[in-house]
Amino acid sequence: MPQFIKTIEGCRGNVLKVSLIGILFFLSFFSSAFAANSTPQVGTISPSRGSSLPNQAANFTTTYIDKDGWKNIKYAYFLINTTVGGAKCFYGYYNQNTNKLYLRNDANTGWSSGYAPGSSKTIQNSFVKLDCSKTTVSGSGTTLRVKWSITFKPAFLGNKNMYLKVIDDTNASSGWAKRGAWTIRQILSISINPNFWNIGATEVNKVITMAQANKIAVTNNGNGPETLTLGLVNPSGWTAATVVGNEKYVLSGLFCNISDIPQQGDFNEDTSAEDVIFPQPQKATTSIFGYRRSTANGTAIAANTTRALYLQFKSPAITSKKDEQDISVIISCQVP
Amino acid sequence: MPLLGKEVEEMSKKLLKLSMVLVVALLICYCLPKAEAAQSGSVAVKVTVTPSISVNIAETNLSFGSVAAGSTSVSTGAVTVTNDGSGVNETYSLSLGDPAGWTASQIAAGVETYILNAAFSSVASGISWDVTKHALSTTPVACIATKFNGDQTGVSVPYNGIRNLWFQFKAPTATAVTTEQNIAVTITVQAG
Repeated sequence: MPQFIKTIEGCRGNVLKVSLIGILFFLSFFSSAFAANSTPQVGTISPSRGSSLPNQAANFTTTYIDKDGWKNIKYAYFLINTTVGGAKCFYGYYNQNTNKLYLRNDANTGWSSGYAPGSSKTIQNSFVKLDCSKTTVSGSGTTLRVKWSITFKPAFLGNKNMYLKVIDDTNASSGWAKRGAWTIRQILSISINPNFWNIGATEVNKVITMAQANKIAVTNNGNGPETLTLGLVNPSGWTAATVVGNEKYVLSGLFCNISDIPQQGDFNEDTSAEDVIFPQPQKATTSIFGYRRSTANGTAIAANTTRALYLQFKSPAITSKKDEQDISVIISCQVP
Repeated sequence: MPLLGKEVEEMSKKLLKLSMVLVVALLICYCLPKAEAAQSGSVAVKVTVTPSISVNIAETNLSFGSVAAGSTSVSTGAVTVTNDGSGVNETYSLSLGDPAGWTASQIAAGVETYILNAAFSSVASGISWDVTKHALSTTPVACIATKFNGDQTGVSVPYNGIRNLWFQFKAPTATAVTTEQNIAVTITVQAG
């Protein structure tokens, strides 16, 4: 074979090799450049249900999944609120790329400064606290796991839902998904001082209104707002009524400010019987057991707040009872 | 199907039912709202109603009319006595005030001496009018079961209770008084 023909064949072989390498390079480049990104998915919350008390740390472990690998996750969100909304609640996120935790402010208008999990920082708004020192993050395979250490404040009482969201480095988002429910329980408690009213001796058909010196202080020593109720236990042989009668007496009550001093005519001035106490407990409203000239009543009393309870007794018109009678007034509290 | 197979099947069904009941019970427990028990306390209101005792006497005048010396007369009607106090039981005491010139006796009528007997009874008939039980004196005497009693007594009369008080008058055997005499009978009341 002539020499130039060999040369041409040699050249053709090299061109073929170069072309094959080029094609492989091209395919490799485009396969990596145009590979489909997996949208991240939210995982679970553990525990997904339960309750805790205010000012008591609660730990939640949330998981976020990205099939492209957990390091592909950018933001891992955790929201605890009644609905999907960032105001007045726990709304935090973990930035995987910067390894920092953030908490939304009360008004849902901005994020706190970021702090690393394990750092000795506590981020808080008016409703929750996030303890960064006890918050941990780990990743493995496709799953990012965040263990949040959250303390709910008394202002955040009630039943809440828990939501997750995740965004990856391409800004692909899972969207919000409900993954649990949590209740921040209210502690209901009141103190009563004094717990007696000694009227002493009186006669039939008399009206006795409690003097300021005898007023009963009722203090909400729970951890949230409370509304008071009044009921009573009749003494043997007497019956509570709206008007006095044969073995029938009237006992009325008013909740007001400690500084208020209701007078005889201040009881039952709305409907003539709205302040009367019966065995069946009745919830205070602005009218029921309410003193018109007071700015305070027995409803939605804030924690660590005191109300005065004034009582008024109307003796029976007729009674065969000559001995001391003991009427037990029951004061209860409930969630407003 | 072999007997053992049937038993196994029955047992499986029972277990399934039991499991379902258990699951439903757990779901109910889980779904119930976790309400905190409302806290409460009590205030002891202590009061003593002092009894108010009172009696109403409907007829304030009772006339025997003209009677002969040494005669015995029973009132033509009774005086209605009602407990109108504050609700407590009442026990009555009876006494009288002598008219001028006459003296009440608890034994026998005599000169210027008379007997006025009283008895609580629904009707006059049947009253013994035994002076030891019925004769009034100027000193109040409390009613007991055997004092001033007929078919009623003045003891522990309940609120609104009505008693009928009858009188028997034994005129002096001799008297210088010829005008109308007024004998005031007083009913005093005590609780109980």
